[in-house]
Amino acid sequence: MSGSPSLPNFFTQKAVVGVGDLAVSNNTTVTISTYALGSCVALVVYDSVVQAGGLIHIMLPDSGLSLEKAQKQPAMFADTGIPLMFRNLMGLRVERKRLKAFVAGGASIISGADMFKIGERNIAAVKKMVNILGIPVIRADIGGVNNRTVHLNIATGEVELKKPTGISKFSLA
Amino acid sequence: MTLSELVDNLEALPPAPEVLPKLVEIMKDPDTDANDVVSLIQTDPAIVTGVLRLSNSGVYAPPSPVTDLSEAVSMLGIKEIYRIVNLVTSGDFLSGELTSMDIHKGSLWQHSLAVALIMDIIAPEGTDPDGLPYTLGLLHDIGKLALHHGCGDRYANIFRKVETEQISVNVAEAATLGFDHAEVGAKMLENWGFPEEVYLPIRYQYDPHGAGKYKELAGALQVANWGASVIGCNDGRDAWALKMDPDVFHIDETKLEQAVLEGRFRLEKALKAFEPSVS
Repeated sequence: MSGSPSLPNFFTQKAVVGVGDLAVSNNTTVTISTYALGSCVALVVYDSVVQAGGLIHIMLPDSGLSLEKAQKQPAMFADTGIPLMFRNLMGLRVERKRLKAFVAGGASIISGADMFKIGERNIAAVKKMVNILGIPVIRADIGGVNNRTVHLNIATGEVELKKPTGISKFSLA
Repeated sequence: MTLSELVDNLEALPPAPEVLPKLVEIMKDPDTDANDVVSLIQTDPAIVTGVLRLSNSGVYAPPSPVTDLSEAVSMLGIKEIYRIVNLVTSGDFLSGELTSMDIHKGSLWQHSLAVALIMDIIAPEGTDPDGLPYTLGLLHDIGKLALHHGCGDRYANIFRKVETEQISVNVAEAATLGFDHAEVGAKMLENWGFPEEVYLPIRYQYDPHGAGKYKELAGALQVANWGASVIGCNDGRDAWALKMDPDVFHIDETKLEQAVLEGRFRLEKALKAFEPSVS
């Protein structure tokens, strides 16, 4: 209600997204978090007008590997998970043209055959999907050998990125 | 500190396991039967408790509560009991937090279990005994415990070296300490009485060519360790600072990704075994 005094937020809720999972929300008490992003890639999106956003933790690039497992858990794969997240966001009255996105993860081995560079293939698959969907990626923190943790505050669109080397904060609003 | 000094002073760790090394040995004998397994594991109350607890878990869902070790062995079979003894034994060691390496409570055990399950899928056919790949997966990182307790204060320098020189963690450990966690783990396992088919593939998990007749197992272990990371089970700083040796263990790319994916589903199922049963 306009003009109401704001109360301290005693009821902040945390939605934790596991590997191969996703969450969307327009609940301004919610922070969506994902931990231990290694070669996996997180796509984080936010629409500041409706204060809604989502996060997906993608494990593999292509559902062609196992259509059966993609049916059970579509968010595991970039090509099935990202469209699903966007369908869920549309239900929250998010508009694609207002979205801003952040991509994190895709850690990779120091050296070895291409087949082991799964992080790089995950990043390429996510880039391909956001290009198809026309989502502007305003920031990315990808590659390297570290695990990452990402939090998205639904009320503010603020993202917190944690790596062993430090914490950074920025806004998708 | 030398490797021997480190491994000879492990007071901070639980006592050396006695049942598992003997169980690995008797599993090599094709004549081993349920009575042999019961006779061996009934000497360790913690293992008996763990076997009974897991036998009664939601995964096995017995029609009536299992209260007797012989009953558990006849219900689940020797191979499944072998896996449970591995799980209980490794859990004693691997469940804690390794702050020096940014490894959270429970993460090292979950990583090791993921490696074990992927090893079960990708290990060379005809490995004898057939539970060996699983054991290797569960025990492959046990050296990290000794390093955390004995040399944890050196890890800030080790990780700095990894990040500035772009080298793998085991190489940075060796350059800083004179040995790496694979070497330490192998020495611990050898001292505890495990046979060489356990400690040699673990010793050479980052350099499979050095493992001689076990080089394929060591190569599979390197690949399974990578696979556990792909499914999000590799906590710790610089967890991806790996160098893969491509010339030892050959597996088709699609088959490998399918194995990794299957490993993740098996891991979910295995973790359920640690939840209380619903009756």
